[in-house]
Amino acid sequence: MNGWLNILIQGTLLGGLYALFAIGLSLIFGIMRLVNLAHGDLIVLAAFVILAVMTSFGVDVLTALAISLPVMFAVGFVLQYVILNRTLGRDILPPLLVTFGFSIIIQNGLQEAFSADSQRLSAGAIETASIQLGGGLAVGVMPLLTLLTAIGVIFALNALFYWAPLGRAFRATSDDPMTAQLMGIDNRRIFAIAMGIAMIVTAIAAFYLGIRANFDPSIGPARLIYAFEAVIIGGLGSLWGTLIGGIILGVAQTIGAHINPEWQILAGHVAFLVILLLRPRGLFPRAFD
Amino acid sequence: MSLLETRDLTAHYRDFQALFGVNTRLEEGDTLAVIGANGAGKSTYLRSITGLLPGAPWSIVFNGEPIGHLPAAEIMKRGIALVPEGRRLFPSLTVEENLQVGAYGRTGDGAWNIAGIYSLFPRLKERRHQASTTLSGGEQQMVAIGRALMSNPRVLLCDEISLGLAPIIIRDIYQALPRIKATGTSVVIVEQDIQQAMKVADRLYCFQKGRISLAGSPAAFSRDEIHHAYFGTRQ
Amino acid sequence: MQQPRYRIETAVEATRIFAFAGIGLVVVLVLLPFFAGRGLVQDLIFVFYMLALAQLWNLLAGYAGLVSVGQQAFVGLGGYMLFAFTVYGGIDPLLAIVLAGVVAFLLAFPTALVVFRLRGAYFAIGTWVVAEVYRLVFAQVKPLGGGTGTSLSVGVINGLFGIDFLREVFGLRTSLARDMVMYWTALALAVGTVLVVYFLLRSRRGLGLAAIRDSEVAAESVGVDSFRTKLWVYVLTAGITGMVGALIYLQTARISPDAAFSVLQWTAYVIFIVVIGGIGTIEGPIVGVLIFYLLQNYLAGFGTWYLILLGALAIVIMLFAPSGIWGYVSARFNLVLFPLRRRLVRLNTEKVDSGE
Repeated sequence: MNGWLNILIQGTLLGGLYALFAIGLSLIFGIMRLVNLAHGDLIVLAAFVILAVMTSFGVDVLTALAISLPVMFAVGFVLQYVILNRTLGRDILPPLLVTFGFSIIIQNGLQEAFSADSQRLSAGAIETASIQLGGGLAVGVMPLLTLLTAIGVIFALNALFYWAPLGRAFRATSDDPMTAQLMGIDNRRIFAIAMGIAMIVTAIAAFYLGIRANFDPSIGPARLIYAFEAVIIGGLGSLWGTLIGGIILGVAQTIGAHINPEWQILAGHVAFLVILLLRPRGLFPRAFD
Repeated sequence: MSLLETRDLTAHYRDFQALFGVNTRLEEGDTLAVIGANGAGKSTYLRSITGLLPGAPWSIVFNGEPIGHLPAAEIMKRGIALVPEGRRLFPSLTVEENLQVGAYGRTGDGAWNIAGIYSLFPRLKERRHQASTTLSGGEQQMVAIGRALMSNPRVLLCDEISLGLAPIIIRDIYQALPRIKATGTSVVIVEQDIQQAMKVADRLYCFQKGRISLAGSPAAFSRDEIHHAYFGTRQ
Repeated sequence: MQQPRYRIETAVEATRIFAFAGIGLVVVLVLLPFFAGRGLVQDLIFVFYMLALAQLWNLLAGYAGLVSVGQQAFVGLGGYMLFAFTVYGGIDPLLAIVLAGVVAFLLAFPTALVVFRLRGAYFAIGTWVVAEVYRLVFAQVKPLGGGTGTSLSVGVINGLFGIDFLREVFGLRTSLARDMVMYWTALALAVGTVLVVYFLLRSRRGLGLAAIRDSEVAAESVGVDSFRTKLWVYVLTAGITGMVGALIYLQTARISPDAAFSVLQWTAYVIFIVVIGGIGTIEGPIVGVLIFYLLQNYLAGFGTWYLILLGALAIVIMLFAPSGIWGYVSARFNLVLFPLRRRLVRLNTEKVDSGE
């Protein structure tokens, strides 16, 4: 019994990481209907940025994250403003193919800059710290922080959406980009800011990814797929849905891994496909699209 | 100098030419009515002015400056706001948020704010936290007008604000116009409904197949003259 | 007053010349292995199967609007089926290629059941997930090598239909005869794919596809069954993709899940070929595959920089010349080699009163 409870707890905590992967993807799809095939590679890029800041300035991982946040915001802003804005329109091919091209560029660029070796962000003793829950159950401090951060990020983004003028502009642009321009909203700038914010969340995701496990330039596409699965399971347009989607994916993977370690990823995919067949619009779809 | 002028304004949708050299003038504080049948080019005229359809710089002159080439957001910031045809409220925003977003690009220094809009259209205050999609057509039109006013524009453009509304609602909405004009805002009303437009206008333009078929003071024309300019029948 | 009369025409002058030149080219290509060196023959096998994959992806994305990034699912499936049929079924490899295509065709139905629930860009990632599922499942199949993969024995490959005939009649060495049989198979698949795509697009269904591409709603309103048309295109391309995959792994003679289901190799490169050449035309992938072959030949040695260049080139083309190289040439010189566009040609040239 405790075994299954433990699986459920560990899976839920893993889901926090997947939710962090997914929030950025969900955010930019919600605002500009852009599906970014380079999203996973941008997570890995952020992890390498944090690593590079740590090694070149000799700072600890948290300080490196703080420095990396504005850097990643700028990366997202410029990427969107200069290039991706040109691809938006009725045709879905240009954004898909351009971001696919970026995926390949980022992967190989990182390999050129950092080699194909596995890396890790070291956070000291907290990496292995855990809290005993009694009954032989324990949760790691870092996994717990990951989940709490995901929840915190969602609260912060919802506050932005519903309380700030910028958030209203995001929602208005998402509803009707043409009319939004008549409100003095510069779509190009709004989209660039949205991508910048998505990259901030991405950097936070990369921070937890890099502390939790090894990473190398090739692991981006798999992160994109987890993020995508979490978004679809949760239903488009709802960040809380995305969190639930991440948790379902995390639990499914943990159950799979428990049965046979080689089945971890497959179990997650199967859970995704089953939910897609049963609930094509996800568990918590937005009322209108 | 006129506040807003179009000079030989032309407009195209790919191969299709919608406007063929349109000249209009709007003086500060005036109300201008633009009438015409479906497809006469009225909406294209507004799309050009608001920057949704960019053109040559000097084809549209606002306050002495060329704006024909500017993007929509920039033109709005200079003080031209549009009440779009079909209202185009933001469905995921509440009534009050729709009004607030109207002031995103510009607040201006005029009298219009949330409280001002609610005193102009008291019914909106009761519905301030409802989703804009739950409102009646007339109420939605009030939100659309209020949203445009929130930026305290120097020129308010109204595209077919009576379309699809009951006559009694249309009357309510047109009753707001004098108060809007009283704040010094110049107004351009585009309508298919000739009667309403004529009542409030200082100056009238009739569009026909992308050209101006009649221009002048509404009082100067007979019913027949307007009828012919509108439908293009020969006298 | 005479009513104007029209005729529907698809060809232009260049087309008729090209039709003859094309037949001539195919004849030359068929005879080529008797004169060319082994290196060129092997290179051309690569060009042919990449061309076939590019045509198929172009049909999916450029015509049916199904932007898949998961076609590696059917390449890998075809490859693994070839191994299963030849190693465990003792079937001749050439027949096994056809059977692998049939399996891919059949499995495309349940696959479509899942991915067709996603639209547009989400369809793209959905197909990728399915390809990953195929990869992970085949990695669990121990008789086919599991996660590390397996090789085809020399005996199986040399049992290829026609090798004995070539050895006896022309006195060729086995290795050369093997290359020739594979070369002709690849050529047949490439030419066959081009013809299938061409005649499909010329058919009634192809007209429906064009309508869907322009406006799905409008197409449905005039009676085009959008779902069935897309499904048909999807399963057809899956079947042929499976055959191409089988051929690829017959030539490689070694298969592993990571290589067989590689998104870079079987989808990214293919997309690159189509985008560079010109999406939404049959000529585009042909131009694209030649450029890709040259780049691969001269630059592949640069490794990561080569891939960065490919990615950047695709982005630049997509942003500044979205119709690709062929699109540019075609518009500039009004050149059409595979006539698909129907044009009205007025037969009588007398001036008529159009009632304007």
